[in-house]
Amino acid sequence: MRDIIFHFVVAYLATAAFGIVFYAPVKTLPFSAVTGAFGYISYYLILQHIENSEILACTAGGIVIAFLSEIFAAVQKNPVTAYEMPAIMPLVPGIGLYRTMITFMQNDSVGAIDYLFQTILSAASIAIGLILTETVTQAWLRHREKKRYY
Amino acid sequence: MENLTEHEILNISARAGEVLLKSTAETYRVEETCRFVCQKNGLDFAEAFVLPTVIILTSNSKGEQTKIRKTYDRSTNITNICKVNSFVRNLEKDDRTYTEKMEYLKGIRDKKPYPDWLYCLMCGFVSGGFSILAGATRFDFLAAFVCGLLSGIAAILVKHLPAKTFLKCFLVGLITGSIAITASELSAKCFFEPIIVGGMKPFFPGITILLSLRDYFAGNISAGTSRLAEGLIVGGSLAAGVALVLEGYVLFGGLI
Repeated sequence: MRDIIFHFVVAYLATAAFGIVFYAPVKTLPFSAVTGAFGYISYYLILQHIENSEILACTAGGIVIAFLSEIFAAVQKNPVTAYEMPAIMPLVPGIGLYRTMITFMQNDSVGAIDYLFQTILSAASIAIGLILTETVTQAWLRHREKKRYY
Repeated sequence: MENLTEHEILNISARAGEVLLKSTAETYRVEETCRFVCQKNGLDFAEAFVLPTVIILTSNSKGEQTKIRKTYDRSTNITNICKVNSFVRNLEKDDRTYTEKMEYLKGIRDKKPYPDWLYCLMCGFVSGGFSILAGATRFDFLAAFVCGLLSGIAAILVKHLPAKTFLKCFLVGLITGSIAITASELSAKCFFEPIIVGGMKPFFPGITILLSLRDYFAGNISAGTSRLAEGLIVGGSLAAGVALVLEGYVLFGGLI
């Protein structure tokens, strides 16, 4: 439990810092940081409790991030991207790219391609999680005939 | 709202799209914005075609005019996306003149909301924070923090040079690799993996790849492909920088 809280706090602060690197407005910073922290924690928990669940964890993280972003965007009347852009960065598979590079340097092409495919699949499954939520929300809003810009 | 000529409407629309494109918004958002501005001002049948580097905007209602805007330097700027969004939302209530609107859009295009030193410092904190998430100790955290700080300074210094996308990422890779090697030589408690992963994180092409996938799913294949290529170039030059330093280290007898 201490471990989870520690990771949550670190992910919160790192996402807030990322918001400033992406020049996000000050008003949206705490909300995108909360979004990123919850997304990372759901990814982390699934990865720890289910074996070989990289893709499931990435998709779940994407769904959580997109859902929270939609809520905050509707409340603050900003585009959804403003919250999603910093928030997905904790999920982006940096370790995968690093391992791909290192195994390529050690002349182990088969291992490197293995890591490369894992990296690409994780990135694609984050995007699938985001797009799934977005599509459902748009369909629901259209069903309620609530016309909104974006 | 005053009555604008077709030329003026297209100019406002193109400039709003240009601001969005310079701050790396999705292409469908730029297209929607351009079309929305035209329709709000009573200019029907306007069509916009957007790639990550160009906007082509045309109207065939009265005079059949076309506007083209090119942008070759893009950097993520969420504040501008939010500002253009609220500008377009409030277009009906907006009673500024044409010149004032154009000046407003030009003003937000050339402005950055935070000073450069804060940007560098936050690059450092991003690197440190993500190195901890990748399993770092506090020594790794310090090394990654220095990495991010120096990388941010390098990114600001090469901002005006040609071929800056490649140069920036290559420099970041070089800095990250050398600091990781120095830290692990100085202290046995430092490891390569968290330092390098954290140090590369602020310049990682995650957003670009995500936007390209979104463009693909939205049906705009050409925009998706060009964004994907940009992401691969950025990621490749980061990896090339780190790999160059590590190869040299191995050549002089180091162990990865």
